[in-house]
Amino acid sequence: MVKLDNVVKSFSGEKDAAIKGISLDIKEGEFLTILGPSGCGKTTTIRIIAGFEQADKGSVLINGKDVSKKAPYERNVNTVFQSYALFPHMNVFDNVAFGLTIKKVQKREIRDRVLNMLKIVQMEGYEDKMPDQLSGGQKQRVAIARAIINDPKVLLLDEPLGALDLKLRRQMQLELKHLQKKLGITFLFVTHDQEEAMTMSDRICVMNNGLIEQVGTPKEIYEKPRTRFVADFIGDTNIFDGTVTGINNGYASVKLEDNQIIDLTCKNTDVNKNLCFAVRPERLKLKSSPDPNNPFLYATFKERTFIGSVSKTIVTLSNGREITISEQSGENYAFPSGINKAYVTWNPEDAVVIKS
Amino acid sequence: MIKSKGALKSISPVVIWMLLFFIVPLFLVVVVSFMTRGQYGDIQYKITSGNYAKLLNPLYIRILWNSILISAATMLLCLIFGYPFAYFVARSPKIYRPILLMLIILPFWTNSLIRTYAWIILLRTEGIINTYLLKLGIIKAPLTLLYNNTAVLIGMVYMMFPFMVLPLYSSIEKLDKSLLEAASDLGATPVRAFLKVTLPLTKPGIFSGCLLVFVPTLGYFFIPDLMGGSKIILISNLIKNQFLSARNWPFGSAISVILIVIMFVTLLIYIKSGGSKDKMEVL
Repeated sequence: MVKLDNVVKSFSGEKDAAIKGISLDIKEGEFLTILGPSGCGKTTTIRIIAGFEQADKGSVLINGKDVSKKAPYERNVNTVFQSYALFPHMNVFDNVAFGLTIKKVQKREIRDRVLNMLKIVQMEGYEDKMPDQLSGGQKQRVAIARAIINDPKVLLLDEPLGALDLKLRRQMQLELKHLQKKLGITFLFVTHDQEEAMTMSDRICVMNNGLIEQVGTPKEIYEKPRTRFVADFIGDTNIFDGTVTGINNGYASVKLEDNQIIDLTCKNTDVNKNLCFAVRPERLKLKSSPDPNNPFLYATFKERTFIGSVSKTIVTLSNGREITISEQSGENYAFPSGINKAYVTWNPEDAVVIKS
Repeated sequence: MIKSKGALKSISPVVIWMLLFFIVPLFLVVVVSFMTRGQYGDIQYKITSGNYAKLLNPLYIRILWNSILISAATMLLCLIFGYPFAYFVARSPKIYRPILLMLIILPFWTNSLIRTYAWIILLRTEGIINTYLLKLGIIKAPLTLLYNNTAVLIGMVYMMFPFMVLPLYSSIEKLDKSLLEAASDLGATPVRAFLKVTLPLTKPGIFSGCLLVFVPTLGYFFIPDLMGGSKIILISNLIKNQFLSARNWPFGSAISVILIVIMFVTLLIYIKSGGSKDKMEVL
């Protein structure tokens, strides 16, 4: 549907390129989210697809056609802007009708389609209102209606929920998701909010520093992060650094910072190589005695905090490194509070080797 | 009650100022316009409407009409040149904008009379333009550039240009760029985006600029005096002549009153068409 091929973009006056060569394939009908911290190049990416910026190198293909040199008005994509960008001198009806008016669609058809679209975004009866009479959420709906009335191949959404309060934001996330399923339009959504990305997306593309770190389903991104950045950015995690001391049978023995040695399932590594792996806090278990069948680390209990449905326990390794473990609250903790000596253990498949 | 008393106190300097320097003189002008000219150019306090009746003479009607035409032409030319200019300034990198605006205002540091004479030096028969065109062999005989309507227009447009550019600039600069991106995104070519988004949203600037050019142009007398020669008489020169040369103060006052009425009507049209009150800000 939309294909980015090795796109590079730098802005004058900035030393670093905003985008340092990214390739991305957006499939028809999917909800793809570009997730990343501010300044990672996600907005630039979407603006290149919309045509507001031209890539320095590489190409943008929409429906198999190279549109790299085309102006925004020549591309069959529409954008929902972060600031909504509703035309302040036009009422809701004229705002939504703008694209059709430009295409010189018949008056009566415009009327039918606009009213229908306003119904879809639950803004019936607001036709005559001016944008400054609307609340943030209402403006948002109008902006979405104004974009999708043109039947875009892809709808680009540039942090459209950023200005809404948390409750409305949650509600709009679900509405957007339902709208996308209902209309079957491909959505390319940009956000820095990982929870938002998780909730809405079919696939997530994590970006950092002008590069794509990983593309995958929310589950893959969460459970099998490929890089340290992804592991760290999405949810809480414990990242361990170590050096490989020996290899046998698909297992690598890794010596950690505090000199404890554990075994990991890992191919493609060598003795004396540095290695990095991550384990989610909910995958870790605390025991009062070592479990010989699973990898374990000896640690000292530091504190346990009750935070609702889960409790968070922090233990430290001998070099002071903290490890976070989250457990269901209310159950009988396998490891009671107050004992100093603790053993942290996990199933071997829950440790994910990542690129540091 | 207390609050409104305080408010009254705080605006009283303005009220006194307006009363002393605006309302009273205006009242005097209106009073004098109904008096009679004495034999030696003095004012005789005999009430008459003759000064206004005199204005119905086709000669004066023509002068008035010409003045309005010249003002309207000045306004239009300022708009045609000013809009692209203001657009260019408003869309240039932020660090250059103050400099570019400064360049528009800079000539104002020189006396306007001197700047008008500078134009005369450029335009007259043995002036700089004609001399060079002759030397380069582009023309055989000097062109008549001065002492006609074109010359008056050049002078007026030159003098009024900043009054058009500044309000235009402020309204174009305020225009949110993402609105133009949205228009383009929705399929509008740059021309259509300009017509459907930029132009309507900068209308307040256009109206303010037009008003700020049209009204003062009606009253500028030294440009038609100096650059139009004796052939071009506009309402502003007419007033000046009545007061200074003809020494007919009552008639001069009557024309002034008519001019004020025209300006007032223009203002009313502006407010009516410009819409809300915030568009008055530039005044």
